[in-house]
Amino acid sequence: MAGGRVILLPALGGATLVALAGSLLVGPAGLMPETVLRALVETDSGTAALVVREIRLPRSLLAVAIGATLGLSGAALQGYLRNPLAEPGLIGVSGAAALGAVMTLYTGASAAFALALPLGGIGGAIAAVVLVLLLAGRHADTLTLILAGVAVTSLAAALTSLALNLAPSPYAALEIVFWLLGSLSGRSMEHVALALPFMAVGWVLLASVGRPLDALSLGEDAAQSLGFHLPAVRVRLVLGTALSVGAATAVAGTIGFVGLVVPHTLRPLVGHRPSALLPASALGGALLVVLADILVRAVTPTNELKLGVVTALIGAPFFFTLVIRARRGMA
Amino acid sequence: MNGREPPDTGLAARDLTVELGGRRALSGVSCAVQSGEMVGLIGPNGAGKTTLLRALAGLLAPAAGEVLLEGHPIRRMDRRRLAARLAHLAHGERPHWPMAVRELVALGRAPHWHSFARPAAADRAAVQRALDATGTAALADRPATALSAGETARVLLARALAGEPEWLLADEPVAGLDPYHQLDVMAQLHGLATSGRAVVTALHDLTLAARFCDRVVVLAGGGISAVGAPREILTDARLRAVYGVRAVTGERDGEPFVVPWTRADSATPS
Repeated sequence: MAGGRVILLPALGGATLVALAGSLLVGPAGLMPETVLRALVETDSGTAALVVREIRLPRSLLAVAIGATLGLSGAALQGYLRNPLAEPGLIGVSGAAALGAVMTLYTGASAAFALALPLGGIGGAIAAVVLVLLLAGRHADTLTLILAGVAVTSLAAALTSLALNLAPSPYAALEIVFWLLGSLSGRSMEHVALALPFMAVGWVLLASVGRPLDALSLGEDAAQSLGFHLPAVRVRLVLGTALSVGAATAVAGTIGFVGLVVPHTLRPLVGHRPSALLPASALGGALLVVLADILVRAVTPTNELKLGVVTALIGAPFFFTLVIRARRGMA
Repeated sequence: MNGREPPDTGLAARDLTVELGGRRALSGVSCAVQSGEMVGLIGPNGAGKTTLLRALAGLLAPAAGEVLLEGHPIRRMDRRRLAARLAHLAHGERPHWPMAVRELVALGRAPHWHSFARPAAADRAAVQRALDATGTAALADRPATALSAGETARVLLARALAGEPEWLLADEPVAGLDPYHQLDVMAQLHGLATSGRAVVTALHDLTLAARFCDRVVVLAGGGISAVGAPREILTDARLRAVYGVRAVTGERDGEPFVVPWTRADSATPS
């Protein structure tokens, strides 16, 4: 194994920790580093403790968890589908989770109690998985799985548009649109507690498909003849993505491109091995989302940019370079 | 050997019928392979060679009949334990990511891995043996997607050998190889058989089949048309009936050669 690969995971992990610390220091309250530290460790120190523990900490933790989710699931899906353009939204989970959350905004349930929104999102994600697995069938190949995902995504998008169309007031429509843009502002420890268990189960499921993904580099027949049971791999992959991405979308809205950009960037650094890409991509995703969320707060503190907008602004130009590089590679 | 009741030893197909997309690819095929022999699977395109190999590997659900490994139905065996004993090398298999050749070959060790353990010394040694045996050790650090067709074929054979299977099913392992490597790969496969393993390989080169295989199975139209020692099977009459060609046959240093010369329906005299 090359020397560069050995230090990749510690380097990404270290950078994520530094970014996480930085994320706790940034905010309109303008707290000094030692105040933040004291607020974290001491049981009671007034406003500063409130700001750090109730506002910045949940926000930063969610950024790490959501970034890791998007990076990990993107890497797993790209490995499974053997396609560098696959991303977590592909199997319909993000769209359906967004729809579930939007329905709570539309019906006003989210105003009635705070956790209705993320609960609706998780419900939507679970419904999407059931639908995709039913549509694709037990012995589906990768193409059928993609088609089922696209079908569910289109349905969710259509119903989300319908909710916007029929929104009771312009204010409700605006609320829906803003939520769809994806953001971490105003998330509490309750959001963390709600989303994290789902994400953790999803991570375990996704981490378990590393070896089969390596074997899939040679195609489905070869992976089967190497002793891997592909229907079981597919169920773990789809459920893992649904639980983790569903929970992420439920608390933060749709945050695009992370699951596409991060695995693609890190793949050459791990020697293109799908199993090695999983942990690297999880850390890389966490790092990217924490940094993007710091950027959001630092650049325009008064009128915060939406996190999903920033990741899309980073991701779309990346897509352009992907296309140009692919064209050069073919020429 | 071609009887209705296969013995409890060896890898056997019993009345195997396979349907692919509504078309009958194999109908009522029975045959058996024993340890220590190399069997060539020959027949024209579409005769069912690939389907038979995939069915023998347990990759296809037969419409009727079954495949038995030492008397046990292969479709009901534990996939990983089966994979540790039986390797299948598909024709036209290709790597999807530019991972290093050595890592690709190491995938052949997958059935021997223990859940999350790092590759053991035994794994690395087996990978090195497979690289050496196929003459691909010099390619070990190259990206697997940047190889020629012939190099890819040898690397994939190394992948199959790395698992050190008792049963090797190889679909056209010499297709696309230069003459040197064709002879080299056939000698390797024959060496496996003489060391007590079993090799079943689909071939289009009749001379290689005649020289290196202990027996040949001739498939035509989804059924077995003949089984036996190459010299008895590869006769003028059968080549004309099965392939529709007239062949030049003969012997050199006591080994047979078969060179297809003209189409049987052409007017050109041979």
